[in-house]
Amino acid sequence: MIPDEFTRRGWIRRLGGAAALNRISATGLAAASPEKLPPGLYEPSLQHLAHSLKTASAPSPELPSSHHFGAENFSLLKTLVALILGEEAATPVVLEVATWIDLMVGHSEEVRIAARGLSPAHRRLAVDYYGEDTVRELESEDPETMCRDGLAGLKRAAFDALQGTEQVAHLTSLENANDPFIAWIKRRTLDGFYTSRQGLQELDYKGNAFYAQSPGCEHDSGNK
Amino acid sequence: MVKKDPKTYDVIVVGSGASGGWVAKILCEKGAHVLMLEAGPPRIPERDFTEHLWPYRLRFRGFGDTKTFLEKQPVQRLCDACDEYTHHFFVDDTEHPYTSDPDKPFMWIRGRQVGGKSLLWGRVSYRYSNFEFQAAARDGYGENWPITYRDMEPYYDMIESYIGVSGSREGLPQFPDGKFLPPMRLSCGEVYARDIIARQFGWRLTPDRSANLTTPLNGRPACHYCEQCHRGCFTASYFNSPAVTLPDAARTGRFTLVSDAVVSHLVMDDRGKASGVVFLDRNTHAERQARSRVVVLAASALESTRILMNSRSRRFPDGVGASSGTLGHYLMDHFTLESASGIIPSLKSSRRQPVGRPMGFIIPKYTNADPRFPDKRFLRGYYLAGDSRQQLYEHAFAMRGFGRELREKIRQEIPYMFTIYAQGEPLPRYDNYVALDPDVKDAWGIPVLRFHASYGENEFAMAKGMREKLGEIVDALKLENRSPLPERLSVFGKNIHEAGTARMGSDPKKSVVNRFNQVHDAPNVFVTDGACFVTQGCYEPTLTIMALSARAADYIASEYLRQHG
Repeated sequence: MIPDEFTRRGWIRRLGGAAALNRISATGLAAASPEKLPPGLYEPSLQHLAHSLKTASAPSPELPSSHHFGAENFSLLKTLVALILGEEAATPVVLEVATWIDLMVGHSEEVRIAARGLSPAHRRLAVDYYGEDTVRELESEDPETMCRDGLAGLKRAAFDALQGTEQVAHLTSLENANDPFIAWIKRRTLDGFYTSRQGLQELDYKGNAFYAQSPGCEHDSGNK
Repeated sequence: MVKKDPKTYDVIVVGSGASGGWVAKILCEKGAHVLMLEAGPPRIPERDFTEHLWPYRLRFRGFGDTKTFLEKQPVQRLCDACDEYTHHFFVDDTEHPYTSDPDKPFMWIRGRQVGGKSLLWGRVSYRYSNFEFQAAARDGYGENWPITYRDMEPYYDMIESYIGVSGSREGLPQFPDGKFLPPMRLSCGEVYARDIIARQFGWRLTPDRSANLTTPLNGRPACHYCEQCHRGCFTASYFNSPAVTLPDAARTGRFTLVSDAVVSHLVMDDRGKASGVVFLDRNTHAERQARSRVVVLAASALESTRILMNSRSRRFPDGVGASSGTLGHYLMDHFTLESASGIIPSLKSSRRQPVGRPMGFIIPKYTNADPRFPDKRFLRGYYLAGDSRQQLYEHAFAMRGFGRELREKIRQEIPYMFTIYAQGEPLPRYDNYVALDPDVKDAWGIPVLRFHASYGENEFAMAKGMREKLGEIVDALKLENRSPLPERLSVFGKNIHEAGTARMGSDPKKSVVNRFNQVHDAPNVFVTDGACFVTQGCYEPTLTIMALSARAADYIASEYLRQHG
């Protein structure tokens, strides 16, 4: 079952409730003729409801067909994502998350170069803001090499030939040994999954919604 | 060749943000013809707002294009609000450079567009009291403002009533109550903290005062609590000038808005009065001139000062308003210690709670404001603020394991976070200043600012007091998995509350503008933004900027324009 936040009907019901509560109507707003305002000024508008509905219910953006990783490594990456999430490798969300990780890895060299290219003043500002360690990490983090090495290690261990439970056991042993590749790929997989539609639904995320009144503690009389 | 607009306007307003919006609204409604010049482009809601966009719709899923950020916005990217959804609301740092002392970085966050930073602001709206306006009278440091709370109160009333500020009345003299809409609700973590802090510290934890509508107001619907204000709000349920004040000005038929107009300098006549401004088309770089009887600079504290400094002539060799020697000096921005946090064990749950409240909580200033809470190690004081809510999935990173079992654990074991920080009042110091950089120019050939800004002994002493208090609070709340208490002060400028550099005063030898924001040296030039601040208190400046702007506009309409024909 898809939670209300993600269904067209749910959106309409929520938005209808919000509009009724706020005692406004599309008719009233239409009379305000925003066309007369200079560009950049705007009237409050319920047009955004359509916009919201569109973004909530539209199909997911098309995933790129070419990958930074070659076919073999990308396939192994998908296997890892599937194991971390407990999904079948053919599941759309696995492809979605793996594609995103591939994108991040593909951009990593450019990021490193850009970080190293900061002017001394901008670098100093970043250090004062984040701390030296964080800035150095940005300048030196090389997930591409880490992933290639990590995937190569898995291939050497004939990871693909293992049964599912054996694969999980192998990952567990790597995690217990604080393997940086597994830690990185797991973190990225969780980031990717919990920013996906499916992941947000699973968390029962109740934000990016329409509420008639401020969310808050239901158990406090002082809040009423 | 400079292209001149043949029309002479009553008033040119430079900048279309919170300050300029109020100046334009009031002047147009009082019959003046106003030309507003805005350096940035118009933002079109359907095209530029990203409210309600889900992360999976974005290429980098909300984590941002780090390479482009580093290359184009190495400063702006440091702002929490500048992300993959909103980066277009912030300037391109390669076009808008500035310089600073090598060992004293300054973080200058800028939003150039119709509406300026009012599209992005944190919406926190507090009144200043005489603890701010007359601070020098209390502790002997610096100068008083030439106005008091009594002068400002009717303008605070008017602004709050019009823009809508939600908040609770507390009856604290150091935190004046206003004309509030109903407050938003505290979260369960905040209720928990409120009761303990009241009992153990004698302090009040209250919902933040925020320019978000909790009831409909003036044709604007109430907030729908999506918590994405800084992405642009289609329903205009928080205050921003493009949807609240500027449409009022436009409806009078006496308002002309020119966007993409980068003002370079004032044009001054032989009598020491401004006859208009010179600006450059942002896209073509063509130079143009506009004329008026009055010029109001509302371009943000530092941009207004930059325009004054760049308005050099034989009569004003160091720029307009520079005769006192204070122009550019007494630069301020709040500093913070951020943040102390931890988990409230008793609120751990498997049930997800609704989120979307666009603000947090505040514990107003007590230290050195309430006689029961003195701290003689430093002058002035600070407030504490924060937020408490369930974590979304960050707790997953500490969990071992894989697969469905891991996901179930992430879903079922939701920690409840409590986060608190302290924001302090900086002392206005002459040696914190900006000047024009003799060597560096922006993309339009206008000299940029060079910053000389650092914290002083008082700020460091206050930070020590703040840190102790944060520690006492997280102890009292018995938080688990605590983050280490913060050690370092925020980078100067980080709070985006820059103020001072053209301060207000009765004595032309010590100040740049008078009590009506009128430049002592050039009576038809007004500076209405944060540049005029004499002290900053520890509270956010925007409500006071709006009140000062409205007050100055009233003066321009009722006194200046009337007397000067």
